Amino acid sequence: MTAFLTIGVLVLVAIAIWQMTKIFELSQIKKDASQIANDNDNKYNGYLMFVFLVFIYGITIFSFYKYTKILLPKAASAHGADYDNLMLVSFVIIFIVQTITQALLHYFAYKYRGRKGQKALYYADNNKLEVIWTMIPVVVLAGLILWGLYSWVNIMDVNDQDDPIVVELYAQQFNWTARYAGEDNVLGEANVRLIDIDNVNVLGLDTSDSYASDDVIVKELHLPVGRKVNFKMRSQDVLHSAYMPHFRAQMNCVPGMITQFSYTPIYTTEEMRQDPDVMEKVKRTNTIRAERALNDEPNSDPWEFDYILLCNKICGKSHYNMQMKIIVETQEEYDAWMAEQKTFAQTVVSN
Amino acid sequence: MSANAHAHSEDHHEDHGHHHKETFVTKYIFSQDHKMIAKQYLITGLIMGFIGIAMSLLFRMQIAWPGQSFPVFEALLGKWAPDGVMDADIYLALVTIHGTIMVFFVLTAGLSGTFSNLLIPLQIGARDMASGFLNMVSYWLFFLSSFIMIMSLFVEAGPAAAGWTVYPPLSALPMAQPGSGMGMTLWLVSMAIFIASSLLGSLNYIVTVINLRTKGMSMTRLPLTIWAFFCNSYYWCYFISCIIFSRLTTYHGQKFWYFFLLI
Repeated sequence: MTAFLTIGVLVLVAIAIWQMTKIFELSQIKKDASQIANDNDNKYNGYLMFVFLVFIYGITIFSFYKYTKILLPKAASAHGADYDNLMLVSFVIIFIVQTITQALLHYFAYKYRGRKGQKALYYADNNKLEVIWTMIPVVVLAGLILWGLYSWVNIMDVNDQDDPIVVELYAQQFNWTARYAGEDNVLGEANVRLIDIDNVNVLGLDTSDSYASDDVIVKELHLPVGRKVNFKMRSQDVLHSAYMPHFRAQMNCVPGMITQFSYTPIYTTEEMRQDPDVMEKVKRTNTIRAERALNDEPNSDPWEFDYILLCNKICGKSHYNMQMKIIVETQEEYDAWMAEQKTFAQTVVSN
Repeated sequence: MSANAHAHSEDHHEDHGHHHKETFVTKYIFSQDHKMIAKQYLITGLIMGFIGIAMSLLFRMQIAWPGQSFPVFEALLGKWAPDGVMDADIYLALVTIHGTIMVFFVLTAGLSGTFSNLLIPLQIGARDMASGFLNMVSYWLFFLSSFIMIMSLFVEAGPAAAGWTVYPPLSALPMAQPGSGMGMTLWLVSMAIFIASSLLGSLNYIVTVINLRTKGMSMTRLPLTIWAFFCNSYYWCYFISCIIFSRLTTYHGQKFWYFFLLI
């Protein structure tokens, strides 16, 4: 009810302002009531066009200066650098075209604003010009698209070369679970219809499948640096998306099917923590957190950088909070961690 | 329809509906004049735009200052913002309805509907659109779909909240998200009526551009704006089959708990 009243009051205030403006306008004695733009109107709008050009350039430069630092740090996967290059080149081309075209548009609107006695040039068409300014974008865009397609085909080629480890990412409302394929490097068969919470079979693994018994189920993803990982994604309920921003990796998790993505991490968590860009980000965040701590606000503990897995498809109320830590470590550290984990056979309660 | 009347009854001036005195209702409300219909589209599109912008302000305030209490949340969102702190479900609902309003009601109807209706007859030299009556019906169906979309905001379990792309299963299962019950049903009904409105409008634009160009106005002499509206109308007619299929299957999945698209 309060909402209705608030909206009603706002609408009535707006109508009152509108009516008062109309009354004011009617009460003015206007010399020129023709409602056709005169030289003064054109001069005013011409200047505004130019001011707007300066404004958009200014705000672009300001944004680059102030907000470039919040972009992601360097790519932590083997394919990431190529991906970032493609993005950078696309943006450079876009910005060059943007700078030139906006300048031409707004400057000429200002320079050739309407003036009494000024006659516009009648220029019907020029096929040669139209061909040139069509072909140049076609060639540039075709080049970008072909490059993108080539990158896509390379990145999306999930195969068994280079002895990858196989990890399943299982998404549900609202958490992630990772399942390693274990010693045999083959994931056991699983289906949501086999879920048995009472017997601690949360992922629905087929207990009769021998490949499943050595699978390792964890809530924190550990990866050895320099070793390819083949991810298989599954979802229990609705659409989710496994998004690992630092590795430039994302793949939708679709209920009823298995999707896949593959990458090779190239920097350990420790190495990434020493990267100057990352250290700057951590310092900035912790300065804000220290201020929050002084005011006893939540989320004010100091933060340490970690790779992260996020959900990237709206999946419900806690979609924003559906995260899992990723730790990239040396092969030895990874082996030591894996040795401490229990297999599915050890954790499942047998009937 | 009025264009045909002109072509075939030049010696029956007195019988032209065109010369009858128009009442307030036929001139301003159920108008068949393309300029008035364009104005109607514009005003409705603008009002929907204001509502969409207000929603975007609310969810942007939440994302800029997460979890903070604002009196405006409590005033406008009521039970969805206890003590002024926005509930996570209504955040997603605001994002969804904002997207829906901006894409469909403002861009498609408020921009395309307004400018196509206003400019097509004027720029091709026609007296009016091919069918003034269908044009009027298309506007009032758009109005009805806007009304139903606004009504879906006041549903007990909340409006549709699965993103404006409404991917199933989230959008079709009430147990996945509260907004996927009656809120989603009303969203789908609103969309179905909107699709009918846009289909009528697009067919009208296509027929007008093909049939009612003035003498000497060949297709290659048409202004670029008309080509844009013409091609846009064709694409809309092609894609409408996909859109209506997705709406129907989501509705079907909601009601009968299975999906054609999920095996």
